[in-house]
Amino acid sequence: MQVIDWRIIVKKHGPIVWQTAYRLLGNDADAADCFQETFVSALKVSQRENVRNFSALLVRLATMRAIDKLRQRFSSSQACADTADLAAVPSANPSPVQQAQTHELAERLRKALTQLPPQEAQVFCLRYLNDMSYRQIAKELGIKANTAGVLLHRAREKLRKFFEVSR
Amino acid sequence: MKKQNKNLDKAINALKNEAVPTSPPQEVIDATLQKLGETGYEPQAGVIKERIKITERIKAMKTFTKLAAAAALILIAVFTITLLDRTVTPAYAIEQTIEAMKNIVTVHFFATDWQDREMETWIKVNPETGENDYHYLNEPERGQISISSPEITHFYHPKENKVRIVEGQALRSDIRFGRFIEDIVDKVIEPENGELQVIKEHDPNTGEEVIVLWAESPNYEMEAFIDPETKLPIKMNFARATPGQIIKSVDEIYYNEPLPEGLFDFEIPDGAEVIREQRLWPVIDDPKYGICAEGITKDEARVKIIKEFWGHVINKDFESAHMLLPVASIERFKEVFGELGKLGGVVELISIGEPFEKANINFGILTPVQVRFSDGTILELYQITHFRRIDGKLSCVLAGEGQKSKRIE
Repeated sequence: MQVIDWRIIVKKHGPIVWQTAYRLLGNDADAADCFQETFVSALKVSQRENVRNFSALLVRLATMRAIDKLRQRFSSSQACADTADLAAVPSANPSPVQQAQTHELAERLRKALTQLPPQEAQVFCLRYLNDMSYRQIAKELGIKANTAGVLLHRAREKLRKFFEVSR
Repeated sequence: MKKQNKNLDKAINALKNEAVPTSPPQEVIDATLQKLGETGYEPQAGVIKERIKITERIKAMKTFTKLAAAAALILIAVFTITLLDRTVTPAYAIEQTIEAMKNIVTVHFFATDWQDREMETWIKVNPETGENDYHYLNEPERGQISISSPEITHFYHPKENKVRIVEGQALRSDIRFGRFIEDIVDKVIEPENGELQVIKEHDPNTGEEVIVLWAESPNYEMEAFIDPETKLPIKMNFARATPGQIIKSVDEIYYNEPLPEGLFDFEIPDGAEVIREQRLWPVIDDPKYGICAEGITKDEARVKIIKEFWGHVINKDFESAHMLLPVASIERFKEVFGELGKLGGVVELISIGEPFEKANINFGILTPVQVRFSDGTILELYQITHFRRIDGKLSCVLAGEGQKSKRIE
């Protein structure tokens, strides 16, 4: 069995897991839950099989968990804007109006991602938010690179329609 | 459309460029480590001692063996020196495994398939060619015993006392056990620009060195744990595998055990139902089966063939259905989907779902299909659509089921 020092794994890969979770969830509380669940899932994976690329595995697991959480969030009746922890996000110096517009766009995309089939949402996030190549995505999801391309295309089409309808 | 694309791109940029804290708060890290501890993790120091890329070495070795006969003599001399050299040093070299595998005569192993079902296998290897000449495969959870020789393959279903017979070696494998490393490099690594590595890890519990062969390409990933004494693989795990490979992991392996007497002899039991079937590979690439996919998208062709197939089944036209799914016999259709089946005949095609791919099925895409039987039962099946280009023309055929069907109602 693979022997892993999880203190090192958490220390080394914690930042990328946190950023992945936080970007999708937008608040400390949900990101913290997602962070913890991601590492526990990775531990279970490592008990079943040898893990060669922890960074890619953790990013994939964090993305999957974060999308699940987003789905729960938007399927409940709570107003989505209330869940975003705006105070925790440092300002990047745009005007207040621009900032509000940017935030609204990001929030709409979060909501739109919950409308996609899980695998399409995952491929979309890994490609556009984590800059993973088709080959890396394919490897992580156990699919072919051209399938990753097809899923990404479908995801884009659905999101494009979402933005068309929800304007 | 451009405007909506622009909106989407703006949204992607907005989300991607949103400022996020770079690291988690320390209390989140502490809580996570505590949670990992509760889940069974005990901190241990494990390290990878050494990682050697050897794909190039194997490639070079193989190219070398392809040289003229005169050069082969030199090669033998060089190779012998290499091996002699290994005897005076405990260091592991991949050549040792290659040589050790050439001396395998029988393999007996216990494995797990992609549905986590256990199986027991015996293989009689031809040491001259490395081919897996005879197979015995017992899959108790699947209720099937398969015995295969170069001439004939029998699939026996004890519970139903039924025997399916296929001409030739139907338990095919692209990878010969006796030439395991060479075949992986030839057929998997080289064509896909993959890589093969020897990884030496240190087990802090036993203090022993663990040698792992790791092969990776876009469609294949395998790790084999090597016995430091015999240099033979003692355990294998597959994350992705060659087309048709049913094994996900090999959990225990025994080499050169004496074969149980009569293991590969199969006699049809008294009263058994006998069904003769065609082999998968020749039929799914035979142009007389399937439909033309020219002038339509692959997705349209996939939906079309599935609709046509179920239309025939519902109309009890099993001969026409067989022309679209040739891997199963007409008798098998009648048995599963016809009125004589346990659930009565299929009366309705309810839905055709979104296609998806599966790691161990590289010859087609899977489609979830729901059908209703006359007793009201709804079954979801996962049909494989195989596309092929014959004489420049694209066509497709149904190539069986890619995973176990499930009852919805």
